[in-house]
Amino acid sequence: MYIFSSRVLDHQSTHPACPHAATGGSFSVAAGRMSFLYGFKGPSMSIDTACSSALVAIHHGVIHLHRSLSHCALAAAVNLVLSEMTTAAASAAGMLTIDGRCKTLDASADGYVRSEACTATLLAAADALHAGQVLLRATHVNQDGRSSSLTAPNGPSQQAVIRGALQAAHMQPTGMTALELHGTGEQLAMLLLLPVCSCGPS
Amino acid sequence: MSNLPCCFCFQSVPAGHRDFLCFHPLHETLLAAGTALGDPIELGAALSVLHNSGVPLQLTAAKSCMGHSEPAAGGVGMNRAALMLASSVAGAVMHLRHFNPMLGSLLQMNASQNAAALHVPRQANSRHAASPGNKELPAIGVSAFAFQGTNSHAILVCAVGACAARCSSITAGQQRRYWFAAPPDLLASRLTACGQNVELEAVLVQDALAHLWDHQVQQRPLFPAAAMLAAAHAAGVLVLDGAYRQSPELSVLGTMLTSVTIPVPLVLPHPQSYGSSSAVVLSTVIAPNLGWLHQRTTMAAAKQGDPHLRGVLAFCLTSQSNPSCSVSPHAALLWSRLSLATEAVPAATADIVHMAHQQAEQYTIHPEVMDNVTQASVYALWCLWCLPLGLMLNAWVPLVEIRDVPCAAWFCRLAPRWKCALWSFEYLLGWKRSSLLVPPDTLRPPNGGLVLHHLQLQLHMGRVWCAVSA
Repeated sequence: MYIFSSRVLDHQSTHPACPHAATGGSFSVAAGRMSFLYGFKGPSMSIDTACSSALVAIHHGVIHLHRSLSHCALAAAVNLVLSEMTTAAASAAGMLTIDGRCKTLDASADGYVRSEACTATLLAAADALHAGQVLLRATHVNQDGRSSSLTAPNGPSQQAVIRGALQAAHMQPTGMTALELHGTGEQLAMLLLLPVCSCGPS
Repeated sequence: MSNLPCCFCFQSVPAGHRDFLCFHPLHETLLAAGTALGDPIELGAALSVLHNSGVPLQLTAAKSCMGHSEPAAGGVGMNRAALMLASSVAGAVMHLRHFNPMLGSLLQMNASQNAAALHVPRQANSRHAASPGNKELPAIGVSAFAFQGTNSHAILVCAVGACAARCSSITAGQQRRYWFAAPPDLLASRLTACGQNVELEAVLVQDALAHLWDHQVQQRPLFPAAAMLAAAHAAGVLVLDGAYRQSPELSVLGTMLTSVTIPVPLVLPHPQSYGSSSAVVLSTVIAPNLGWLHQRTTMAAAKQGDPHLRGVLAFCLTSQSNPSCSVSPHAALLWSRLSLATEAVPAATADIVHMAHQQAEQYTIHPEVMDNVTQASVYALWCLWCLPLGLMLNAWVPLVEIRDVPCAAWFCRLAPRWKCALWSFEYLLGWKRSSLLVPPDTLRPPNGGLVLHHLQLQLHMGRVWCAVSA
């Protein structure tokens, strides 16, 4: 079983002596607790790659299924806004929009709004695609590497990851009919600022 | 350090220049203007890989509806994509009014290769990639990019013909707002004053207003009634602002539309003809000394029809100088052209102001409600009868803050009676609830605002009368 859970709260710093701080505040325990709760005995891990965490977790689940190590894999991701610290840091870095809307593709895009979400995807090997079923055909993950700056989006790497997924899916580039954008509507200016902002959130 | 590629145009950046933007005047300008660049980078990268083959590439963005759930964002996008595949409904990109100008060059570049390269739905619709013309399996790519550099992409496919029931969760969290708080430039592209009347024209066929064509009832684009209200109100504000700029001690506290009637809904030409030859011009005609206002349209291939909206423009005055009611430069410019034509404005305002105070506490209705009522009546016209059908909404429409404040400030909460009234309306017409294009649940705007006392819908002589009373 694969699981991603978001970074758990920073309450360790505020309650250092709390006996549950080790298990309740640890990022890795989130996956272990899920396995404990449901009795999953397969591999279980927490994955943190910031905003791509959920898809990277799904990617690892797919790899695991391809190796036929498991019948199914569960990839879950959660983001809860329980502390003001991350929001304050993001706001200080100029990442957040002032009107609380992600204005993707719009000229007035000025940042994103933080939201809470919990998703769980059960991945299972399929022999044939039946009507009504959705098939996860391929996933791919890469890294910007030594790009122009740590936080700036890198066009060539984004091209490469889409090409990689198309290759893995044995699809032509013309086969794609729709694209769900990452589309945060962020300003690049804030991305310039981030390297000097030590408290920048992911 | 070796030369690094520009993150936008991918050309090599000479060492010592900008950190990651190539030394290009365009980039300099846009960066200085604070234009959002993350989306153009993403779309530029995607379009350089994906080539469409006749079927437009649909762009969707869960974040525009649900915000950025940071680490969970990729999972949200993938699950939404799976729902879209399973239900053959394309989710919308919300809050999209004016395309990012840097995207504009990308879109044009792509359009030159293929006429219909991209489709950005602004309203959840069934024009999904699973169209009959597409022989391949519909496939959706899902992107998630992290700011520390880890990129991921997943591809989902679905069996053709797997159209399940419409999935309401696609539209979960999705606001519906089809009208526009129009900037004055859109409303007053041409200004004419004939006699005592002032006429302001808005050209509807333009890219900035393309989202209006997504507002469809029975596959026919219907100009939102709320957009009529917004246009009428904005035009009124322009005129009145200019009028009271003449008297520095007075300023317009707010303007309102009363006694609004929509005798004839405005059906826009089909989207396929959009942008070609059909010029649709919405004219707002105001008689400043009486406060009367009506709207009519002129289309290239159609005769001038009945007025689409009639109403009375009222406004409240304050003798204190109110900074929030300052005259916009555009309005001042307008007024300098208008002042000769409308000298009688300040003299005749007493009655209107009196009426405003008298009625201010009585009737309120949200523009979205009016829009839905118009949709309902048009739906009835097209689905049930071929009788002449009109809509009269005798309502006090609080649009006071439309020019200064974002839409959130003029949402008003509606009493449950509104829903009861709508349901009885459905019962009257023999509808099922699901037959309404806009479910009544979405009619309730978010918190704040005023309360609608009673909404009455009547069927009389083949016409639907909709009235609000206390």
